[in-house]
Amino acid sequence: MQTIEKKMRETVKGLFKNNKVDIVIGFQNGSLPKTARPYFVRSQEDIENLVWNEYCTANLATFLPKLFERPARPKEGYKPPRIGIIVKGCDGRSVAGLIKENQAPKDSILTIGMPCSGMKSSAKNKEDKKTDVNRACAECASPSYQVADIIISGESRKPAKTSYARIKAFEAKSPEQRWKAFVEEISKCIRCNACRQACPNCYCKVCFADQRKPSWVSPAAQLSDTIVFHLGRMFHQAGRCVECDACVNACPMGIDLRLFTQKLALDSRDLFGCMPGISGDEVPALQTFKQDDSECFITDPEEK
Amino acid sequence: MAKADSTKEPTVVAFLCNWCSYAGADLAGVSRMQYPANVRIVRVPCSGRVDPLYIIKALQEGADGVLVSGCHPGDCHYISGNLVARRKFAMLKSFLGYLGIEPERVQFSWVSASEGGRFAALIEKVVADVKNLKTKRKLLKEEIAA
Amino acid sequence: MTQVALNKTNIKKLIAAMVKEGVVRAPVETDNGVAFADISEKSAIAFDYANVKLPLKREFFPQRETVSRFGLDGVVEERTVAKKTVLFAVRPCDVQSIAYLDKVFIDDKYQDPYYQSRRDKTFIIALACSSPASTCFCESLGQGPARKSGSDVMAYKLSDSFVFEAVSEKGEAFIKKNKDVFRKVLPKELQAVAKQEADAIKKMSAVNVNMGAIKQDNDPAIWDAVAETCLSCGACTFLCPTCHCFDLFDEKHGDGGKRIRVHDACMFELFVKEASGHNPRAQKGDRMRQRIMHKFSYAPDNYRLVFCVGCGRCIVNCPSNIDIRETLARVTA
Repeated sequence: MQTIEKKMRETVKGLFKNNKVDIVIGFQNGSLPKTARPYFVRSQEDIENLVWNEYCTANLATFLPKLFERPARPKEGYKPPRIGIIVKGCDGRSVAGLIKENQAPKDSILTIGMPCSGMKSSAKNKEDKKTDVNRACAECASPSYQVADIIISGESRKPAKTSYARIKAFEAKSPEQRWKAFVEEISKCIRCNACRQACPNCYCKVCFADQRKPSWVSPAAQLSDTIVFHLGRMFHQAGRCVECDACVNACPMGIDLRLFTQKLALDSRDLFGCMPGISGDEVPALQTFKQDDSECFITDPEEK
Repeated sequence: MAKADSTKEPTVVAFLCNWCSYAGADLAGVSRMQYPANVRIVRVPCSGRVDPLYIIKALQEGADGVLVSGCHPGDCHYISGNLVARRKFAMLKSFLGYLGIEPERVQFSWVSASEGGRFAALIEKVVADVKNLKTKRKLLKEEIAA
Repeated sequence: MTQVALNKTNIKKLIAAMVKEGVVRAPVETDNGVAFADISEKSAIAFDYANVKLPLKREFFPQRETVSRFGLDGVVEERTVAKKTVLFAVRPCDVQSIAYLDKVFIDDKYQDPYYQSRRDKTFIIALACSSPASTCFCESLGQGPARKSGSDVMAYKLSDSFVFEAVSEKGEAFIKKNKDVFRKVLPKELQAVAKQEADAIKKMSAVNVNMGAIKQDNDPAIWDAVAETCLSCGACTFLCPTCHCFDLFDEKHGDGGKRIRVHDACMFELFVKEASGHNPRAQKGDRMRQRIMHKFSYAPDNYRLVFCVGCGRCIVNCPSNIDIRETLARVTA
């Protein structure tokens, strides 16, 4: 990790020296033991605080849409900021998705691809201690962002053959058991919106959950509306979710959202062959169509 | 709103696209075809307009079942609205089923403007499917269930 | 006030006596850490943890509460039917937070009936901390791991016994009522209590900032820098024992509906967005400034209290690890 960290800092130094970026988003050591947290480098002096270790869990792409939001009253000659961003595989996939959805201009972003060996969260929630890294990392099919603008060399974790075993095991349960498990998880929710805010794909200026005319869900943590909030928020990720688990890591109540978001990722792959952000060029599954898309779910009243 | 009672007739909310399915429903009507009165029709310009939240909210607010019907693929008045919707509905049905919601409660179909008989048969099928369900509505809001 | 002791094995007798009188809530182990739950004398109460995840305010000021119902026949104010409740083994920081919230919800001009009815029916037995987290900093705010004020009874857990000390009149009456369960406290037990407090203070972090030195006219750039990596979620606010902002909204049901009060968070982007569309605190830095100033500047002005009890929940749960201790250092520099 040490030399990789050094290479990363040298690269960022070079970017600032050659005036290629205005901001570089990376990680610094956190205030808690075994924690790293997002950090904005705005000048050469900040660079020594940049770190790269196994606690760099957060998905940094979540900061991009806001940074590129055109100001309400732009100054004369306003140009979007030039942003360098340290990316693991998951951050990179998110960045690709955001560029595709016009939330971040490709020309203003410089992705710095890091070799990722898998990340660990600081234990604020009881976690599955079977894996030494986060579940998302143990199952990650693309630990490093292969098409980054700048690649910092180093050894990454081997891509996992994502079998979605947990999803298949969940599917094997009865519908009643599945619903019960879903409701039990969602009951922990306090509607703090950390999952939504941490997710790079949740960039709507006004989330459906905050709309009042009409009101889809109430702001209160009433179970029924909370279920609709999560159903809606997760389904809005259909075909777009990169399985980074930013939502899972941000949740203060330790809700196992991955058990549900992964189903959408699995369907996106199996039904439409779409794995968001892998090559940087895919169109999200639900933003396109094929003439021969499956109709097996359609009700045909005349079928005997 | 009257308290929902599972022994009463189920309510099926049907989102029908204006150009095909709604016209098909209309044809069923003028042809005096009988179909169950359990259906509540909501006209939308295109099946592609149907937001997954409409379906989820309908179930939350007391619908026993939801049907979405549009033009046959290739015949969409807006060229590709139903093709985009087709993918969305496939994923939604799969996701809701994964969470334990009975697949009979959320159904999708294609009915053209000339298929009055098909529309009537579709409503018969959906209402029968919903009536035969033994399980309680899962997404139903507490206040209505109370 | 009166001090008594109880052997560890006899704690169930005390719980049984309390359960006879009403609801007893205490921390128990769940799949998701330690949380308050209704208990019986058979329940296994958790004692070895720093603090529960959710703040105590939720017992008096729930996340969602119906305040009135309206229909064709008018508006009916909802009357909270609070049950007689004992909250057992509450950490002193959380007890303090309720004393602070009392200043907000119950004053000489207006008493919040929903909060007050629960408050009147609740008896609080605090439990002194023996193993605070490194993110605890109550001592730096003039609080402490064994601070008694605000509770009715203060309990201390030692290796083989508990020491109970009455703090309020209600506490005295409680100890008197249950005198058959208690025994005399031994001098060595009192020594152990003092040592536990001293050890606990050593374990927590010290935050040496001059709270009064947060200037009102701080450069916005400082706040923008502090809030740079803030996600504007509400985790810190919802988990904070002293945050109390709420929203009122109406829910329609058929011909009528309900007016509901819910927790709200000043960190949400839409918190002060006005009907005109203007948002006075559209920038994260402004929202961060508001939250910190409310707690450390406006509250002292209004209530002569810093609205922070040093529980550290915001530090542990912030997805971007924005640390209020660092923030205070930065803005008082």
